[in-house]
Amino acid sequence: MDFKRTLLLVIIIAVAVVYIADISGLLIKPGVPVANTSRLLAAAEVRNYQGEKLSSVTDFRENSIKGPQHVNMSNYRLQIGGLVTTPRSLTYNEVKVLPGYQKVVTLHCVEGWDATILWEGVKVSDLINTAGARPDANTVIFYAYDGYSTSLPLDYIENNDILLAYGMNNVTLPEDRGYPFQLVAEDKWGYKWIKWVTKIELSNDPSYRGYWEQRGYSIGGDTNRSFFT
Amino acid sequence: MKDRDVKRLVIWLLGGVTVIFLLSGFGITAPDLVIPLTLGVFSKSFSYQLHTYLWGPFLILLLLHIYLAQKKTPRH
Repeated sequence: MDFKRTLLLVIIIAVAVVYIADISGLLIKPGVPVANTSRLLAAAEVRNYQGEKLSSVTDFRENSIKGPQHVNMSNYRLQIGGLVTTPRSLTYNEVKVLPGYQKVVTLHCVEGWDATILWEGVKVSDLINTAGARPDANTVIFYAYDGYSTSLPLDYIENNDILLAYGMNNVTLPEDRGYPFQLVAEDKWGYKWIKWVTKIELSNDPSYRGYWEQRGYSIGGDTNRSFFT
Repeated sequence: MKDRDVKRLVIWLLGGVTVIFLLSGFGITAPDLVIPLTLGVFSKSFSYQLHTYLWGPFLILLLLHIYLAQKKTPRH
């Protein structure tokens, strides 16, 4: 047997081994800790809500820009600023005392997968109201702990009761899913569902481009339209 | 099974897997086109599942195809 064919045979066997390991879940995806909080919380989550079957908190692919973030809660503040009358800086508990809401919403990722979850959180419009939006504000820009950002129209936030979630499937939002807060941008592609939110900024720039928008994804991000501009 | 039969089998399997691999890929990025084209069989989530699992068979068959092409078949 010549060298070329032996090498090919070795590669075939190696590919087969990697493939079997992959489909049996033995391979660890980069950036995902082995004992992530989602797996721990999965035992306590609800999987059915008013007759509707829910996905699991573990049914998400990890595709954040820098991997799961650990937010230091001792000095965490949710900043609300920009075109507001009174900029605010709220602790986790100060956000949670606002009226809470629950909603079953499906996240559609541009990669093709989706997850239907019972989200629990506060309305973003309630948060904005604590700071008071100035009349010229028309866009809400969200910033995350890992440097990610995205934007949504203020009208969309107000008219659709968009939530900033702190819980999913009746468990606290796991760290790898965006703890302390993830935006529930319903009817928008997954890249609009920003995790580890640290700042909400009101702006009058509807053409603001966040992380993926700068890389060619649409600013609107509607799921009934292509995610490319 | 003769060598020539094995080669032919690998070629047909590779061809089939390639078509499904491409179709499921487009089923993710262009579902509006693929869903009616496949009479609803390749839904977006099904395409995603399929595409995720097909990389192994595709690569193995492709390498096997190259391997068998290296093997000289005696000519009569």
